[in-house]
Amino acid sequence: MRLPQDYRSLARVLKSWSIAPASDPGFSEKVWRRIATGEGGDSFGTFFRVHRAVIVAAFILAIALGGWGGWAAADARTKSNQMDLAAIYVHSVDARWIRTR
Amino acid sequence: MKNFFLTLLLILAAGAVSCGTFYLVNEETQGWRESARERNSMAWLRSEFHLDKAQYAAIRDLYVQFLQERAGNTAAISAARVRRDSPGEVAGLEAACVRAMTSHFQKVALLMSPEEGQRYLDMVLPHVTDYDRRGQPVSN
Repeated sequence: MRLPQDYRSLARVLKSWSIAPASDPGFSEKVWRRIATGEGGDSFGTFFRVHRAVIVAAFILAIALGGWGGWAAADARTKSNQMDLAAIYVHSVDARWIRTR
Repeated sequence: MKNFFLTLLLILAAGAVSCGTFYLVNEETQGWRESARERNSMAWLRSEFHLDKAQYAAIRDLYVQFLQERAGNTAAISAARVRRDSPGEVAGLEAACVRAMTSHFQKVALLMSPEEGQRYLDMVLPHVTDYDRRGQPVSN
């Protein structure tokens, strides 16, 4: 393939460009250390993606348990109020509860 | 670790919001609180047992009539206590009072629908019999 003049000079530059990076003997060890410490996966999005199933299940469970707890507390309160008002009603017609001074 | 605690916090918050929402939606105490504050038994009966106008009027008339009859029982029990009559005589008057109350509650129940009438009796009759457990009224 024939390249335009500009590209040919660029190709020459690239051909002459050599990189000789210094090798890091501890590279592999550093990578494993970063994996072990969780570095790089620190964002909440990453955490959520990794544990999505558990988090969603925990949310559903918390909402269900919270809802049940709230309903049970309201039910207990309602029954207690019913009993109190029934007592007030009965005592309002019960001659035995009249205090004699 | 920070993400774990953040997630845990969000889950707990979701549970708390769910709990509060269900509590507020299911709590039916506002009307009762008002009835209790005013000690308005008839208002409570009307809302609790879903009485229509005719039922409410009939039950209110029975209630007023019973209060007038009860005045006699009250006076008799009160006088017996003041006189320090024998426990047997006071117990006899109290038994008559219980019979009159039970009869009144049964008449009221008959004016309601059968299901509500039964629920009414189940709710009020235990308070007639729990009198002894609550102790005697003050008598000087």
